[in-house]
Amino acid sequence: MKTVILDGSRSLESPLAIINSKVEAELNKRGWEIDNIQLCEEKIATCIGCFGCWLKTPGECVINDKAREIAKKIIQSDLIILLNPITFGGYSFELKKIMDRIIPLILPFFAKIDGEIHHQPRYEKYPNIIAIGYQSQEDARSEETFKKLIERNVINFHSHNYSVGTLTGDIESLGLKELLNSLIEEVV
Amino acid sequence: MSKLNNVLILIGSPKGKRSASNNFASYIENRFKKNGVETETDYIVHHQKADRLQKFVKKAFNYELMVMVAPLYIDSIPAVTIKFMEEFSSYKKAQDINFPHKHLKSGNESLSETPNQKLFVVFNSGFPEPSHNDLAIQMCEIFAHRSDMEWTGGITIGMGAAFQSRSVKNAGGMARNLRKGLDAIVDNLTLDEPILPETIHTASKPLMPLFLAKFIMRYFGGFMWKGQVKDDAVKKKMYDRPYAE
Repeated sequence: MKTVILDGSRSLESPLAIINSKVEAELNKRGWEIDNIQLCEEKIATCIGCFGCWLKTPGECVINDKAREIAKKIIQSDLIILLNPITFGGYSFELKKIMDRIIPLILPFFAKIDGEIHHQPRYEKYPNIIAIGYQSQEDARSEETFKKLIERNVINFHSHNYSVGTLTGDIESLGLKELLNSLIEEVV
Repeated sequence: MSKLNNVLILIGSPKGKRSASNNFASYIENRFKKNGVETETDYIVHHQKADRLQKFVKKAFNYELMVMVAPLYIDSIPAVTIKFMEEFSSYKKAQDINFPHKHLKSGNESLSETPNQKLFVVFNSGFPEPSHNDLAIQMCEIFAHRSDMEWTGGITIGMGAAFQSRSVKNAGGMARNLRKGLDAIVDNLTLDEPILPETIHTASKPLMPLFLAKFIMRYFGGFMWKGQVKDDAVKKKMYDRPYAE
């Protein structure tokens, strides 16, 4: 199982570092191939909204930086795991930068999905998604918004399956292993 | 008479002045100016470097009302705008920790809280259904609460690309409800009145009947995209899969 972990922590010392290492250890036990990407360590530009990835260099972003390589890894994987410090119910800046930069993986053309207009897929197969959001304090509204965001992204990203979990509070005392196993079982 | 002294209109599109968001912002700006409100417009994308962003965040605190106008990127807020929101919220929290009584007027026993800064947002997406923007609006509401701002609401616009190179004023009948809604919203904000849900609903109405808009996008959207490709060789490659294994 080819897996890409996209860690949207703001720094390497964030609480998500513990979650990241536990996720990696769990996947290692299963013998999966892992690419663990700390996004805050990579030089990734923000999307400039030019649509060049659809109109000039179809399927590839016109900005030549690490995001191109990550987009390629994503589409060639079976599973992506998003680790996210929930930010106003959505992605952190670090994670959103790469999410904005993967639109070359879909087509500009439109399709109707469940009665709504979305973009058509470019590829035959898209990876499944597991998303784990973390917040230091309980906030039901943020949690609900984050879960809805993943659900919406899955439609636009044409993934067949996904699961999403959230964690709150002291990382050490959370049942991360149980959560992760249940998220994996939902998807794989 | 205006009860609002000043407003900062923030454009959250990475495309800056060349964006549909800028056209929505221009319409809003003109209405505030007509109402006698001191108005400033700025582009978040111009303040990405750490030092510039910090200065910009500090500046943004000086306005009674912030109106954020942005496009929808992947079901939510563009990364450049999230960065601004993260910095703004962190700065606000730091201020509250360092100066816990700064919201209080000093000097005597009749201390009363000064009003919180207000936030109103406008989101637009290329899809015909305005509801694609709903999550972005929810996120902005959470941002407002986290940043101790007063949330006044937000509107959602579908088919935003129709305003890429056309002003809201000159967009004819299709923008009728949008203009009517925005005029009422700006007037409400000017007079410090609550924005009624009906007004938000009017401004957020689809630009044309949804069944028609969906039909057009589904069957003619491809021609629109292909029409924007100048190089014939690229037209043949639009379905390419450069990362296929």
